[in-house]
Amino acid sequence: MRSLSIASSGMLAQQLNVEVISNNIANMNTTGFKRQRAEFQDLLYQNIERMGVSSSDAGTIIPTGIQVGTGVKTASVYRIMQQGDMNQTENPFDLAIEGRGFFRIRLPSGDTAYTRAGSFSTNAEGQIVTPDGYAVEPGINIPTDATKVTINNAGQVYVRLAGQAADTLAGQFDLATFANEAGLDSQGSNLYLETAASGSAQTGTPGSTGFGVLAQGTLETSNVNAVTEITSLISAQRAYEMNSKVVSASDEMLQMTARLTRS
Amino acid sequence: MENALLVGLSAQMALRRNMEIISNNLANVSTSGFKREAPVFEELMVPVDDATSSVAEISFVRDWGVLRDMTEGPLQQTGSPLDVAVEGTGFLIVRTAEGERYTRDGHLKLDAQGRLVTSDGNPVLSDGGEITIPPGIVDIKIASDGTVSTAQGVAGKFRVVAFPPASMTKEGKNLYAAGVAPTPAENTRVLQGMIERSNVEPVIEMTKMIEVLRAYQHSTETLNATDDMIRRATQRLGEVKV
Repeated sequence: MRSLSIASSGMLAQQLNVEVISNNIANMNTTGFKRQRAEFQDLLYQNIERMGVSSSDAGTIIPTGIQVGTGVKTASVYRIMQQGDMNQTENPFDLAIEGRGFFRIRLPSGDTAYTRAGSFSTNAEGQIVTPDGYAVEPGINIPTDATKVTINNAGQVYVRLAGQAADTLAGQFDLATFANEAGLDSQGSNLYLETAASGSAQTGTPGSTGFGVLAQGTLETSNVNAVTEITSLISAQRAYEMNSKVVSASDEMLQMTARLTRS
Repeated sequence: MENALLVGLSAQMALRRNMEIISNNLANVSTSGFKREAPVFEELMVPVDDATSSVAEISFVRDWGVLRDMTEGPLQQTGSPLDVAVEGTGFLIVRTAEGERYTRDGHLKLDAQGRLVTSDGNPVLSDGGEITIPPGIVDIKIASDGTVSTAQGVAGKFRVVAFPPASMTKEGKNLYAAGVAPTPAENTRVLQGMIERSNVEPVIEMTKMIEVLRAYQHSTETLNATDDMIRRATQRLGEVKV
């Protein structure tokens, strides 16, 4: 009975939908998190009677034919790169990107990862690092005797050294953009990796054409909207339930058929 | 006597087909741009070649076709600038390895070359071929006539086409093939940041499912009753002493 497998494909799709929604809700307070969305496609169709086939010697043709679908599949889980809200933190090493771009992070393996979560701090050597201790690229060192750190819109890091009247430039943040940001590979820990689908990274200074600007003392919150997620969760749950009803109805039909052979 | 069994069988086969189509509709309740389908059945009259019979013809049931309901699904705001919904009867054109295909699923994306593509990576076509967004572009605007523009000017205009509904066949992956040449769609608008949801109405499908289930049950009972009759007739006739 085909409707059993069709309905189970529907249940699988809705299960994945619920998984994506629950991950969005779980990351509601994750800095720089971008919500995801499951997208579905219908599966192949089976032509039982093709339309356009002649139905008589007089040349009449079948106008609609019989096409039976075979269910649903997940086409993609798409990341929506919409800007999150700005949250003031007053921490000098909290940076938010307003507009396009990613910070570049050097992984322990030597590879470069990309992130929008700008909750940085300094390590024992005064280098600016992520919460995991990975250094920001290009490396920026804050002298240990610095009394004040200012990071402007364009990513220039100025420090006020003890006993000095003027600020000195300690480094420069740059940003990376991709032709297809949704094609980046999520690594967890708010990190993304470049893929063949995302295109290669284009680096540039914040504020130049096509790049966002930095905001010091601010963090980008996740772009998850609780109301949307909860409503999607409810509809996914109901859709799952309906597909399971189809399974039980098909099962009942099969049972009736099986009962024909009593006596 | 066996005719009753065969009529019941034809009914059950039609009901199973109906159930398959209902379950495909329900499985695709979250598929954007999906159009629900419904089977059409017809009565098949077969003459009875028996002078003693009280009826001249027996009616069987036969599935005759599948009708596709092309009404628009509800539009949903998504906030993603690359989501487009087609309002009206039009379709977007997608270039696949098998040739041009048509879709109403507007979940578009940019690929690594900056082309506008579908979830499968097939480019969506404009009047002048593929639509490429120059790198580093922040804002993409899609006007209601399908013109895609950026700060660097117009990148292309979606070709939105229409077909007589009967000429289209579903290919899966939210794509349609058409047996006739497309004509430019009229009274059609392209809406940015919106998605057309599936036009499946769960309430209707669930109700139909219950109907099918009960009809199947009834025809099973008819088959059982007929089977009983045949068995009893055989038993009684066997008891007749010659």
